[in-house]
Amino acid sequence: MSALLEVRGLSTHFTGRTGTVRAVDDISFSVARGQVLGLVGESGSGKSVTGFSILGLIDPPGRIVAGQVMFQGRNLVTLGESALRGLRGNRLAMIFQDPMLTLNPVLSIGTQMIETVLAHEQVSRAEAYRRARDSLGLVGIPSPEERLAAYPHQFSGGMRQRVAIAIATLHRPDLIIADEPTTALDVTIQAQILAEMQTLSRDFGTALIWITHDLSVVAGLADAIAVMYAGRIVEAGSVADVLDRPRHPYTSGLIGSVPSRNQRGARLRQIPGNTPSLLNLPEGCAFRSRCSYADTACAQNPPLSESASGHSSRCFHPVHEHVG
Amino acid sequence: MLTRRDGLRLAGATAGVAAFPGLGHAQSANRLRMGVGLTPNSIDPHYHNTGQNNSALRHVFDTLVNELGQQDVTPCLAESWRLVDELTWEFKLRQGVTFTDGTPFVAADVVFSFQRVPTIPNSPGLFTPYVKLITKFETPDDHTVLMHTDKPYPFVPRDVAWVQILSHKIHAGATTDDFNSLKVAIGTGPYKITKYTPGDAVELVRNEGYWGKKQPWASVQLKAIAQPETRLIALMSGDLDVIGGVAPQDMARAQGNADLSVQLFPSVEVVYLFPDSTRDVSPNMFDKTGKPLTSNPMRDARVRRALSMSIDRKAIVERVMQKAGAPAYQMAAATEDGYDPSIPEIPYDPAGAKKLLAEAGWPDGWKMTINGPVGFISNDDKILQAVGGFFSRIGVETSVESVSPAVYFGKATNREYCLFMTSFSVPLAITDLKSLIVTKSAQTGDGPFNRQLYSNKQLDDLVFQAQSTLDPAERRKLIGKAMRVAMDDVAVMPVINTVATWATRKAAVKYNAVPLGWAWAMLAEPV
Amino acid sequence: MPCRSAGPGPCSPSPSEPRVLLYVVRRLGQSVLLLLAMSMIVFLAVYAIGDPVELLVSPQATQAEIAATRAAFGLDQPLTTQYGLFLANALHGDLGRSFIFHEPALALVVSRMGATLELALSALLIATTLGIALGLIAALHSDGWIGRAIMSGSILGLSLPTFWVGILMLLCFSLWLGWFPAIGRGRTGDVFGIASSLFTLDGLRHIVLPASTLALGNTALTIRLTRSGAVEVLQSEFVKYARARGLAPRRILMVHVLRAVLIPLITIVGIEFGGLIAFSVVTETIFAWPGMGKLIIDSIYVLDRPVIVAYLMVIVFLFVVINLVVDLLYRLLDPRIGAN
Repeated sequence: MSALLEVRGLSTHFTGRTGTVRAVDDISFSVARGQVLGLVGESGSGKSVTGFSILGLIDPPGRIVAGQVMFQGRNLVTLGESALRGLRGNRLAMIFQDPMLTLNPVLSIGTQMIETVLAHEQVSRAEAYRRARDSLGLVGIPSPEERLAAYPHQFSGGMRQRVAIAIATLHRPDLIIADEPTTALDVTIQAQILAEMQTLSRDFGTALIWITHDLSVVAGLADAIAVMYAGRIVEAGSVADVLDRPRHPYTSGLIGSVPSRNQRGARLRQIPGNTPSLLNLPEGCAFRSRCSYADTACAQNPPLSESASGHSSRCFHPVHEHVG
Repeated sequence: MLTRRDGLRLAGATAGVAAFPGLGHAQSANRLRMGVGLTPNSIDPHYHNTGQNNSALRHVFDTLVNELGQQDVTPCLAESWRLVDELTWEFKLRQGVTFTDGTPFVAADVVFSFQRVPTIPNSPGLFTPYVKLITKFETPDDHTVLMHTDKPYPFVPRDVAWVQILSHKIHAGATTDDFNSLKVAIGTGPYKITKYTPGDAVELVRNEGYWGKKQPWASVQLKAIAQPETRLIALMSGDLDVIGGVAPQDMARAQGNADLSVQLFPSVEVVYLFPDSTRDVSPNMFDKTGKPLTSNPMRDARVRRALSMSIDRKAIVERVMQKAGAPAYQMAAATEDGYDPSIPEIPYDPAGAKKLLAEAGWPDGWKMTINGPVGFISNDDKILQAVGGFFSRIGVETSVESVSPAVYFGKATNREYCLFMTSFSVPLAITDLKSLIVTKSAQTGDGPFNRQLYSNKQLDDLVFQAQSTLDPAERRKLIGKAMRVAMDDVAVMPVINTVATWATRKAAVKYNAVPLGWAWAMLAEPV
Repeated sequence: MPCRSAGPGPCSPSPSEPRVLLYVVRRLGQSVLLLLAMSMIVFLAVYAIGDPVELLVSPQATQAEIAATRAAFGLDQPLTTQYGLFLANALHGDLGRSFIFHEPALALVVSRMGATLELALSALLIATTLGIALGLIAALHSDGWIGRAIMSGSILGLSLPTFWVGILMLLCFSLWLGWFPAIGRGRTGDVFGIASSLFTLDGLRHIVLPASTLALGNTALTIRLTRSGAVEVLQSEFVKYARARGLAPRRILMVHVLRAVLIPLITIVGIEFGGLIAFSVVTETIFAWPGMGKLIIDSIYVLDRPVIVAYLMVIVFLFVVINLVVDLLYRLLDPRIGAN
């Protein structure tokens, strides 16, 4: 079965006067129909840029310089703008981090939902209204008719995100890219949203790319995980593989630094050092400067090594070699 | 991007709007459009004695005689007049004249009009001076009026030119408001008024029942355009047919335009300087170190004469006024009744002036500030600057200050200036003397504009004598003498006579201007 | 205050009607104080400048006549008495009679108000439509030559003096090209009982040049404000989100961007409208447009105090009304304001 989305060798660079930022550097991954992929990394790792690159929303001074994004057999990188527009919000939807910033504050929810319907389908306004209303109901928003007339500032954070989900699912997209959708929410609401997404994914067979910096969030939700560092995917595989048997030192560092995994009263484990500046990154493994296993070999860019179960990583000194 | 298309669409629409056919300039047949600086502030002809009111309302109302600023007045509603005796003037009125509603014009109308003049409430400037010396009226028949004075007064035939004639039937009890609403805007004149927008325009149509020469214009518009540049552009673009008052800086352009005909016409306006010749100490006068002077040099007639001699009047006419003017050596224009051609020119003689100053005890001159208005007379601030320059050349370091008329005249009357400039426009030489130079008196009301309070008994006597001399030749001799006294004593320093400029569209209109400078459709004839 | 209800029932809707009415009444009440202050200031100012009688009387007037004129206008009374009389009459709506025209000053000003409002409204229309259109174009092509050309043009528009522009317009469009008449106001037409020269073709042809001259500065300002607002909005998250939803660029621009840009613009435009009315003076003088501006200039020149006072009071009142309308419009456009 061919993948729904297949990213091959995607590179997105931002060129400024001070140099080139290789925000996304030669990444490849795929998402199958109905699959949930967790894209994990710190801020600045390039995960959001990956999401925007897939949708073709990279603006100058950024540019996709290499690679392909195959979606349902078509390469989105070379597809024209109007064709892309036809896909966005329709077959490929995006959920942003803070709907307070992304929903237009002076237009009602209804207006913004209806326009999304009408952008891709020639139906009457009444029909579009009905679909918007039903979509709100589906994400568990009560009294949807009153909500349609309301404005974004009249909703709570969790409500707004549900609205964003409702908008994203209006056309039953094949793939939803969610960029840190729960980061700004309370933990309890977070759980609700996660549950909501899971239901939708199951019910409609929607694939999901969940972009986050929080490993614990994807642990329960995702089928597969890809870990990004400094614009590169350093490890990818099934949730079980990556979380239980991490190979890349960064991944194991991430897992280790989750507070619940530490002993009560003991010092929290951290990954030493800081993320490097993406401006003019030197050759070789980007994690080198913070890795306790690094040596001269790491001055070369580590190749991708993949196991039979599809668990891949880029490291000359994978973790499991050091156990025991 | 679609927005570029939107932008282009917008540009296209704008161009479409702009390409209206330029028909706005076509003139309909027999319509005269005159551009003036000011239109009347009322339709009541007795309300306010100003040039713009008088000139505009004379289209609608007549007077007994026409005053045009020339040596003599011409008949209008009065066919002839004569002195019956020393204290009585008889006017024979024209017959067959009617007001535009058919009411016949009779002698009682004259009496009514003259008696109405002083009664107008809240007038900023009445016509009373022209009627107050007439103490009694008689109307022996419908077409004869006798006017009696207490003392012999030769100017009755001239003064009556300022009283516009109303009907004792139509206008009985009429208020200024009634006129302004056009309810009673009914006269005997060559035109009827159809629309009045205060401060903007007056619309007139021909009075088909007019007693006089048939007017060539079926309709007339008097349009107020304050900016001379705009007036000229409107004329050049065909929106107007005649304009009065071409600004000096636009003269070359106007004269160079093949479609226009430009005339310069001597006017009765005299621009003059009024020195403080009476006070011991005068403001704005300092010695060369900056200390205020403790004695006023201009009390000495020699000093005043020196200052007057230092002014190159011809140069002012040539350079400042661009030849639109004439040097003035007395307080009257050459066309006026009372102008004395034998009064000599004041020579331009800076060397002689310096000698006179030395003789009077001021060999090193002094410092002073002289004042003038701005925007009141054409090029007023530039004329004052030139005068200041001339004074400085003979050693009197002069700086100039020009302020707006609203502020200026109050200060001048308050005697805050040691020497100031202004102008006076009246068609009779004797009026210049009576209003400006005769001793100011609250009781008799003489010398109302003698702001520097100059007083010369010899001059006063001559003027009052002339005022009751009925024989024209005798009278003019006396006025000449009085003028000479004033000029010899340098009571005031005349500088220039201004000219009125008229421009017309050559192919459409010919304009025969008069010295009084009024904008009259009656003076315009089609080409 | 954000709505915290996650349960049923909407949050509070837009401001209720009685509240709006109260707000309007309160604002109008404040304006009365403003009018009072203004009248006092103007009175003092004109009193201090000079003497109108000198400018009014005929050259042959005698002392007695000059004194009589002064008395007739009440100018021989002390300042406080004059002001007191004025206030007493003003309460009846009588702001005195013009010294020059002898017409009731307020009626005179109001009769000319129509022409000025026509001019100001036309100028506002030109400035707003042209300004927003060009500003949006400039924002979309901010690095291209179109954008730069528009911005340079706008600087010119801001710095060129109205007087000079007016004369240039006259020379170019009236004299050389002969497209439009040079002076005056066109014929008026009647629509729903309102007489305006905007309702006739002749009237429209007469208003193009003066309205364009008056609009120049405001157009330039609107271009700059729209552009900077649009540039900011175009980079904002919700525009990106709109693109992510696949909305057509036209819709994004005309609905999302424009709406966001309009809200701060409305406030500026409102204030500018008041400015257009007040500063139409120069344009009206050049084009001999029979509006309030020309009236006030003429009146100041001859110190016709009742008209000066009446004019300024009318202007203050207009400003108050305009600001009120702008505030209400603002609340209408932006649902976040006034929700408490």
